[in-house]
Amino acid sequence: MTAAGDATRDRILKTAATLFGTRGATQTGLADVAQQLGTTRQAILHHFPSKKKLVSAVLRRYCSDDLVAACTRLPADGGFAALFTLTGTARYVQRHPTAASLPLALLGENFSPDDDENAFFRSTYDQARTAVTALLDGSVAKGEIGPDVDTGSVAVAVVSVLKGTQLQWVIAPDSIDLVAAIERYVTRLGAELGVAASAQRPGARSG
Amino acid sequence: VGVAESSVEQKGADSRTRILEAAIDVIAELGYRRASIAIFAKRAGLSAAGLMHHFPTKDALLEAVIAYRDAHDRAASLLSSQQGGSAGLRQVGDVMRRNDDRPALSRLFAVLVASNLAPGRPLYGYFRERLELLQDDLSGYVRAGQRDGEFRPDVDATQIGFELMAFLDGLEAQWLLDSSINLVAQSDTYLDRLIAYLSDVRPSEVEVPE
Repeated sequence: MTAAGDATRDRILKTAATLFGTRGATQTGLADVAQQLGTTRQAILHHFPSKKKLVSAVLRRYCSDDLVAACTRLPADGGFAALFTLTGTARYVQRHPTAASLPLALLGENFSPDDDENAFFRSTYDQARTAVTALLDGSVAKGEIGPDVDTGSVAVAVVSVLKGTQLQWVIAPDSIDLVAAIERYVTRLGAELGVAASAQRPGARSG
Repeated sequence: VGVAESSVEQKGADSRTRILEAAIDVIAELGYRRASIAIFAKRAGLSAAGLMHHFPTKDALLEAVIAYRDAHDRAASLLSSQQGGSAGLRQVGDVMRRNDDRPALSRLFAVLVASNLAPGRPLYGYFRERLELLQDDLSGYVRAGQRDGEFRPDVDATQIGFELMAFLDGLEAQWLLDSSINLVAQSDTYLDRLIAYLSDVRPSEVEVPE
């Protein structure tokens, strides 16, 4: 494909991501994407042979930067403090709102096993829980968290709160500071789990 | 209102409820977009005209289904309870127990919220207001617990209300996505930990007399 073709493809993906992020893919036709771009439905089909293919491409390009996807990349050996790196993701999301709204909108259309992208979201959430569990187990091994904590269930809670806080911010961005909300939550969780303040935040606060 | 008249009203209310229950099942199975007035009517055992007598459009039916779901939660005292502190927070676990029995309602809500994320979408205002109301209620439980001396005073009740609301949304999403997630057990465990944290006298900060 030519460079111009790639650029067109990118423009289609970006426009589709924005539209899908506000009303979901089901409610958005290829004609809507075309209209937004000042082109035709046929021109889009030239790059993406079906809407299903377009949704899949948008998902793979734009659904790995939100707070849930970021969990999948958390280190297992960074201790509890590594959870604070999620504030960096929150900062990114605040500058790129589609990064937060798109996965939420598409998740809502893929709850059932027979939905096209159900496996994508199941796997993302599963990996997120697994990575947070590993991080917490690492924190237990370091002696930051007591051995009696059920790290698997805390991981479910962490992923839940991240997903839900992201939704709150998408719905009411003027009433929530996402970065501060994530930082306050992780701080509170650390206190709940008995992580000493010194272990919570080694080194300088990222700002 | 005479006896005959109220019986007619009751009959109308019964068929509304029957339509709404049927609509919830249909939406859970097909999704709202694929469902039609004809399908809703058939499931409720009515003609399309019979259904449209109660709900003239699909959108009207949709809004009524949402209001019905909220009444369901309100009946569970989440919105209207005077109870605060841990008793108030425990009711959240009861709501999850009911949702566990009615996944169709939870799925409907999750699907509708996800397609109304931005101003200009038909139900955006409704969901935003609802979110804020529930956050206020949950914060209120924490504040009441603080006032009664059950909960420690050094936590931000508003922050906890937002966190709990976020937790419930995120947990329901994972439960809808993955049936191996136990909605009731996870919410009870979370509430146990949260209530223990809120009730904690924080031994590390208690001054030891010399």
